[in-house]
Amino acid sequence: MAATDRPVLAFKQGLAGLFKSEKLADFTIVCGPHTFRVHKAILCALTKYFDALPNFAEGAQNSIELKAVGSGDGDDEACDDPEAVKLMVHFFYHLDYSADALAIAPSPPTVDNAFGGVTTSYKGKKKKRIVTHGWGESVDDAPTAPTSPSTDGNMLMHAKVFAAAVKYRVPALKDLAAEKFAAAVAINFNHASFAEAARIAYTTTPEDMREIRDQVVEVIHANAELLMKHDVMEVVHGDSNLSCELLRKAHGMSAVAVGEEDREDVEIALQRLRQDISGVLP
Amino acid sequence: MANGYKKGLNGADVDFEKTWGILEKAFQEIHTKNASALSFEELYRNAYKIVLKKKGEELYNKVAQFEENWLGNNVRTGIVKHLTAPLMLDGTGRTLNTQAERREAGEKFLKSLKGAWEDHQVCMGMLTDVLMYMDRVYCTDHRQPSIFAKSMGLFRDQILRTPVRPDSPTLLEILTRIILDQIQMDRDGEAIDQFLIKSNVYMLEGLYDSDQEVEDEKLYLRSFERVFLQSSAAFYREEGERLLKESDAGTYCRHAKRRIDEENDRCRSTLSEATTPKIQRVVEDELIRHKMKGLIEMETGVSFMVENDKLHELSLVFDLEARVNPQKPELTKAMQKLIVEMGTNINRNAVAASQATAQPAAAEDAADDAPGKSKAGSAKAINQQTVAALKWVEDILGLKDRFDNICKASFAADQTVSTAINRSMADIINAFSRGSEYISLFIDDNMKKGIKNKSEAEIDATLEKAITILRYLSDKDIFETYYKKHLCKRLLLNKSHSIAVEKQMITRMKIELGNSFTLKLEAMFKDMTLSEDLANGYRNHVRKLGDADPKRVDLGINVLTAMTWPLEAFKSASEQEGQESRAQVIYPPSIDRVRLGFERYYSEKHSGRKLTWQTNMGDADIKGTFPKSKGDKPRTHDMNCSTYAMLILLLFNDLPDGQSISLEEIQVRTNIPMNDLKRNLQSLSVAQKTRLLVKEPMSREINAGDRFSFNENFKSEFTRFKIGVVSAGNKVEGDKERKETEKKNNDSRGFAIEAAVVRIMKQRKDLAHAQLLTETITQLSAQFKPDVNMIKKRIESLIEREYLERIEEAPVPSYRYLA
Repeated sequence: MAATDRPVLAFKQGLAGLFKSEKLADFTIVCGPHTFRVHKAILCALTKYFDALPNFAEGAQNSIELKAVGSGDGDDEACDDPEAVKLMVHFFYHLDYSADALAIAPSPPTVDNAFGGVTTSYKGKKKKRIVTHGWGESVDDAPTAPTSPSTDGNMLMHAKVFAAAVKYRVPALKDLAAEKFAAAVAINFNHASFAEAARIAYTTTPEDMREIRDQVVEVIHANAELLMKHDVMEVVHGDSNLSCELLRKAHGMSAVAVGEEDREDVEIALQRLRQDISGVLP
Repeated sequence: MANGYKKGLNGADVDFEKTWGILEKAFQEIHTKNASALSFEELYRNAYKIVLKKKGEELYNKVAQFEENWLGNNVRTGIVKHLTAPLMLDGTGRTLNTQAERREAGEKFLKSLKGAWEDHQVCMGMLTDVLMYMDRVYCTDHRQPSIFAKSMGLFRDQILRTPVRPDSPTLLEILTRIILDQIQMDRDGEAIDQFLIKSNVYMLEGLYDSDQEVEDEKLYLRSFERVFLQSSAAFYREEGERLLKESDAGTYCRHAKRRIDEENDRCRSTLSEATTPKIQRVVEDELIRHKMKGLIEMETGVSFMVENDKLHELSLVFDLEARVNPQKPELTKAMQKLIVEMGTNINRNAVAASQATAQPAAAEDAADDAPGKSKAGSAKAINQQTVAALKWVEDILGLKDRFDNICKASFAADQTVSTAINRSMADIINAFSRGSEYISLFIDDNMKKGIKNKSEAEIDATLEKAITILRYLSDKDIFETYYKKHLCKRLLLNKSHSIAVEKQMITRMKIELGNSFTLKLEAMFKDMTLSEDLANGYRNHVRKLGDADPKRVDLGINVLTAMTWPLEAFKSASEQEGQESRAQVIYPPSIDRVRLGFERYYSEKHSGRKLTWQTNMGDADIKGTFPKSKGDKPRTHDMNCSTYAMLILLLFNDLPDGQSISLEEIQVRTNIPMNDLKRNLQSLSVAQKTRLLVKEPMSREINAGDRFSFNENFKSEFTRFKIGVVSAGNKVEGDKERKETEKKNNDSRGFAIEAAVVRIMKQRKDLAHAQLLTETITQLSAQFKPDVNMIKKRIESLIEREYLERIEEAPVPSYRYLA
């Protein structure tokens, strides 16, 4: 290891140690079953969200409760998956989150008791969907293609972490989650949780944030059999953006329209190319 | 499409009104500073939810509406309340109240506006935090200004741009007026609350003319600054005019400087740093740029400062103008004018001095045939003239030193100004027709007397002075003529105090004016050295011959190259007329033997060279024995006298005691030119201390028929003395001499021009007239500034002599070289 990396390494170890020991912790984050003792300074260094707290009640109480999905008042969409929040907090102290972190997470039964496997009803629709919070164990009962892998490579969780990173304005985490999602979806797109991941990508992030949306479109486009799946179709159907992007893809265009000027550039380039070619031909 | 997939992804329609209700209530709390009980998490989540459900636009509009109402209804009334009577204008645009009342009321108003603005900032900061996600998603996607920017625009429209009541000015206008009023108080020396104004300026800087927030459309720039600059310009224009009338230039400069500093400080402490360069420009325009001329021409202006050595005030003027124009044109012009004025004065004085003495000189010329009474007078006059020359040089140097000093002390040795000063110096030096002669005389005087008892550094400084002034001289050829003449006399008459210093001077000239300039001067020194070797060689040669005759006359000799030495310097004016074919002087045998001996020796060494004896320039050491007077031994004296005097005295050796010879007889026996003879006889028989001869009849003048006999009763307290001849030291030329020099100079210039023209044409073959002129002038500029008419004449002459011909068919007048 290069000598210059040593201080960085030491700092990272120190951070991880702080997380474990909760020494000097001056703030509490509660989400669902989890309670984290954290340090304001570290939060503020990484996210804008916590900057705003001092002016509000949370600032006086030195604690915040991030409302978890399924708390009961029906706006789960704006609430957080406690596991995603847990990974986010983990990231604050390790600048990374990993399968290891997932592995040492509280055992699924705890989650399940509280939220896991909770079927969430989507307003007045007769269909019930299973929302998974774990990493694939519970998805086997979903209608899947026979080749469906037994694990989704945390694809769904990465999507959720990505969404949380966007919501709480943690740019570093956003990039990291997008990377991990890309790696996971490339292998595990056949897994049953793909549809849900796609839905999260298209409902909880702004349109111009292409990172994981592009992955979803690419994968569906490249693997037409996904469109045979009911749950995937349901997602495609429900989001006009996704449908539109797929259509463009099908016609060999880029998923998103490039700007007017870009198009002119492209046309000019094409014209020139044509001329060049005709010039070369006898 | 109505199939099984139909299921809104954004399905769960958010109950917008309900959610907004939560937010609106919270916003109200925030604006009334009651936020501490609100849960950020809840508010953020609700706003996030609305945006997730694609209701961002509605939310945005609701917030904007909310802010608009809040500002218009609650905030504005609070501020308008402070618009008290002293702040409102009467019909004439001035309030009727006292300044103190106005200031107090103004401060109240500024305070309330500042408070409103700061509250708005804080509240909008909190709202922005809550609406962070909306800003990120809705505003970015739809290219809307952030909610913060939007609310700032609302503040501008609702608070600043709305008239207080119909038909009355807006708060922005009132605000501008109040700030200007307070600044005016500040300028008048009354203390104001700078920080309070600065806070309001911050506000104006934080607001923009439009919602696009274009950087150079800040409200501060658009509304306030423009008015501020206008009113400041009017103020300073008036103040500058008043000060020019009422105070002196030094005070004006200090005041202007102080005003600029004040405005800079004001920008820093009260307004905006961005205004600094602009207000500076305004003050500079009004107090400096437009007033510089008036300032310089004030009674207490630049010429007064120079006359009274007010270096500091000059530096103030310089600083002021340097601020507005790096060329400093007005000051430069003024300095040049002063130099020309003072320099012209010096020149005029020198001319006046020389004219005062010219009359006796002219009288002397007229009375040349019968020299007599005026002689001493004219010698004095000549001396006076030399003094005038020295004075001129010192004055010019003084002038230069003075302005150099000003330039250094007051103008930070500024390049532009010092160049201009130098140009003017050159102008006045060259405007003086006797400059060349006077400079050479100055050096001459220093070489002979000035450098006595001076340290090396002082001598150095003196030489440097001469070089300094020489640098300005354009007619270097004339200077060279004079310098040669003066140097010649110094060397031959042994007048120079130190040959080392002479050589140092030559070296300096060489560096300054170039090799070709000093070539002939150096040749003169070389002749001197060679002559010394030659004389020593001859002495050894004689010793080897063995005829050690104790009575033999010892010979010291200077062999001079005829072309190099301006020997005419030794001829008096009358000699130059007519007496070119001067007869050989008759030597007594003892002397002639030595002369012939040396001629033999010389022709052995250098065959084919002809020696011409310049007896008029020589001198001799002779030993005279005088009969003893009562009770004394015979006395001997060592005397130094001119060669001519020696020849005359030798005649008396052969004369029996008591006999006398007439003037004519002496002339016949020596063949000494009459003029020189008379002068020498005057020294020998008239001068009190060296009266070796008795003249009959005794009178001051030597006249035809006078008789001379040996003075047996001669006494001198010195055993060794010098018999001076009323002779030519280096002094200012008489008019006749000057004409001579000028003519000679013009001739040599003519040759130089012809040579240059031929050189150019030989190379170019064909050349247009104009081009030939410029090239000739360029080539010769190191020596002198050629006169165009002279060049034309020379070209004509060259055409006549068929060196050149005109090219007939050429479109412009041109010449061709004829090989």
